[in-house]
Amino acid sequence: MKARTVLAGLFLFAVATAEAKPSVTWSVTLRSEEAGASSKLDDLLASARADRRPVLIEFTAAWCAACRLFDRDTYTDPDVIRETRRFVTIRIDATNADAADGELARRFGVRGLPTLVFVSSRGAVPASSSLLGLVDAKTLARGLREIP
Amino acid sequence: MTRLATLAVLLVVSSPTLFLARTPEAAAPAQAAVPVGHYCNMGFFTPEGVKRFDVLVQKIVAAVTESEELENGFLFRFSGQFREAGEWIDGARGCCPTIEYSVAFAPQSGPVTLRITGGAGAKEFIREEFRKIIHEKE
Repeated sequence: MKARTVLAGLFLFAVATAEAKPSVTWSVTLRSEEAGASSKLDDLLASARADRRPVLIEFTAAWCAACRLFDRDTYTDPDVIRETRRFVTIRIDATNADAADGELARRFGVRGLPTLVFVSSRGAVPASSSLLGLVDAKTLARGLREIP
Repeated sequence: MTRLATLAVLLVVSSPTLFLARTPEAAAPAQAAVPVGHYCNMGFFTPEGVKRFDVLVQKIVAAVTESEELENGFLFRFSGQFREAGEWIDGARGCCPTIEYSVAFAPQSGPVTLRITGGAGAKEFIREEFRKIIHEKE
């Protein structure tokens, strides 16, 4: 009877966790059309700089198939998850295409989705520190490691 | 007791997340290679353009009679007037600029064949982007 109870408990736990695949955790999600999204982003960048933490900014959208594959294949990689832990991770949701998307996109030179922008712990955004489109987990983990 | 042991084995086998995801190697997704380099064009659609494209997607979903998996993408067959299908393809190629689109018209106003293909890893991206018109085989 006791063994059955333990097994039943294990089964329920297994069912409850079967769909929960570990993935990158986002510190903040901003909607690009949200009023003041740009100044909120400035505040987050200033705060990260004060804490001497690098920042990972991702531009994404619900309609973006490449972004869904990124979520499924790249952000679930254990190396990527581990490397992102020292970053302040900011997701910018550009689902509702409007002028604000253009403003944020221009500011970070975003042409397509997904785009990742890396900001160093000193607040620098080198021109080469962005990735457009799908990248494999190995490339992303290496890119994250290179950001001081 | 034997039944309990069988149950325990089934539990372990059927719950990879619970029992295997403890090591990074085991947790790595066993999927096709990531289709590197593909992206969606951010500035292509206006808000009105998105709405119009959504309408066209519904129409193309209804018009596609057949789909086929190719080595490097997918093939779709549909009939009827091509005007709106052409408008839909214009939207799709503007939004997804990294893949190739080719259209063939059968004689005697026969069906239209659309091939959407790409380089290495493109098929996975195409499958995700065009899943609404892919007729999965049972």
